[in-house]
Amino acid sequence: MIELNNVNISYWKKQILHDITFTASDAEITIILGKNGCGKSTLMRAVTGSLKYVGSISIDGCEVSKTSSQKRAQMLSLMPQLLARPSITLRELVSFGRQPYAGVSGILTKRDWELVDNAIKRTGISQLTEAYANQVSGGELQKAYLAMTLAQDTQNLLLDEPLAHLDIEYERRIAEFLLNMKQNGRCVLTVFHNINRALELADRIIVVGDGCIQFNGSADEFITADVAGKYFGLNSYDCTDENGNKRRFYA
Amino acid sequence: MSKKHKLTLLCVIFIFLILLAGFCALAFGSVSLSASRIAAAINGSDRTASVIIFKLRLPRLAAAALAGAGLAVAGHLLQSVTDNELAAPNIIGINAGAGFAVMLILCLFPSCWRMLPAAAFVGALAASFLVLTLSGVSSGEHKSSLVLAGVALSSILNAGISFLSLKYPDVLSSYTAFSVGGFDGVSLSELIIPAVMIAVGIISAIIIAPKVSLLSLGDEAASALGINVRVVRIIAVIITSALCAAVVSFAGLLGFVGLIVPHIVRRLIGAGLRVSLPFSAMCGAVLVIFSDVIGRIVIAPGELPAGIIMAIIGAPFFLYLLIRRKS
Repeated sequence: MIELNNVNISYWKKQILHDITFTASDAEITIILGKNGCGKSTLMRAVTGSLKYVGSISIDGCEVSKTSSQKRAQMLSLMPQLLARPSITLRELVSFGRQPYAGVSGILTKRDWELVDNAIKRTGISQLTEAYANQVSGGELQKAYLAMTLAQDTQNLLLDEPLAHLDIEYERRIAEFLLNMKQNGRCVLTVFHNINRALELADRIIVVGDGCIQFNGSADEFITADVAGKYFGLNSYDCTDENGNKRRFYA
Repeated sequence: MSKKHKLTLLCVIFIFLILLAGFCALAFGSVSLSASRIAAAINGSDRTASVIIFKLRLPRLAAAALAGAGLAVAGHLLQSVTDNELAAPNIIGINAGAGFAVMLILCLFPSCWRMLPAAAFVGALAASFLVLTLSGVSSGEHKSSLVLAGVALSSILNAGISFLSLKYPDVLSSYTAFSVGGFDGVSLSELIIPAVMIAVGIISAIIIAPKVSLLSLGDEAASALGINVRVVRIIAVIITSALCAAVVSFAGLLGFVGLIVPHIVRRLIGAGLRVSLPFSAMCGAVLVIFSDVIGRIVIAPGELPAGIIMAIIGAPFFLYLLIRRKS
């Protein structure tokens, strides 16, 4: 569980976010939406402990600013927005996910490597373990980072715009991954740009804008309050899917 | 071939190359010694050969191996920490700091020539700590600040060296020998402390390697994997500085090793740092030993310092990097 209480974040003496309060619960997908530059990634950085904040951010009851980086990494994994492409094999990249448990020496145990190989298998990149991260496609690299997140095996997952720069096929895979994590009881906190995809997946939606929270509620409440129209200026379109369920799309 | 087999084969090749380089270092020079004479020197039956081997060539071999290993590991670590393939130990002010300190002693205390190695060492370390402070690495600033601060400090110190050389032109020839880098006149006794420092430095680099590797994912991702990015960066720079300072104290400002060797090793085995650092050490040792041998052969009975040979090798290597990038 990730809890934020009255969080204020300033950057270069300019206040970026103020009075941010919400909870991302276990076995739920909480999605943060907002316009470009509203502070979504800044919020993500504060949750990971990379940015100073005033207020309280706790992960499973532990205050982020008072928890060591190693302990934080054992509670929270991050899939960043920009995926680096170091010249290392994908297997080594995935093995980085076990470093929070490896101690000062950084040496992984047999059990760690089993978890690494299991994560590789689950994300379907077994045939690419010896390929280099700077030579694979964007989708394959994405899968490797997902595998790294799986290998890190934390209760809480943070994903910063995981659907960015992906085609429909990979978007679907990421969505399946998030649902899988939710079904396993994990707390998933993620930033999206795609409102329609967010409505499909989210148990809770947080809209950030003008430095504070504009909306905090379920997907149904988001639709009822017409947040997409009032805040994002989008038009809504109703249709019926193949199962006869009514769906609303925004564009 | 699996990666494990490839690594094993490369290890065997490098060990063979080290042994070959060692043999060449003992055999070749202004006086060539055959294998039998080398054996006779070792068992004491050839006194002339013994003097050549134990007083002249063995210390040079040890110095070249230590310098190559130390600078290669320092360069590799620095390139990983700064995420910059063109980073070299001299960019964090080490060479300039050592050079300035040596120049000060040569100009102001010319009779204290025994202090030169210690002065080089202290100057190198002081400069790198100053760069750490100026760059704000200790306060979490971006890794590129390290490079910028190093370049700025190096410029200032090099200007100081130029000023001193104009004011005291008589010391220029002594400084030139130091600035080129080489192993002429080195003795085994003066290598003891640097050898310990280099061994400790290389082992420390290998220990910290897994944490440094995480920096390749970016500071935010690395921090999310449990490392204190600022502390790891500072420790890595300290290890780099100590390695380079130890080498500078007996080898002068030997260039290119820390820049070239990491590229060679990455091309051969990729960039898993904990595995590639020992290979960098071996490759660096081979390169510098062969450079020293070539320097002794090309204009025998005279010799070219190893630093000049390294520069001759380094320039085409840069052209090769440029061509490879363009293609």
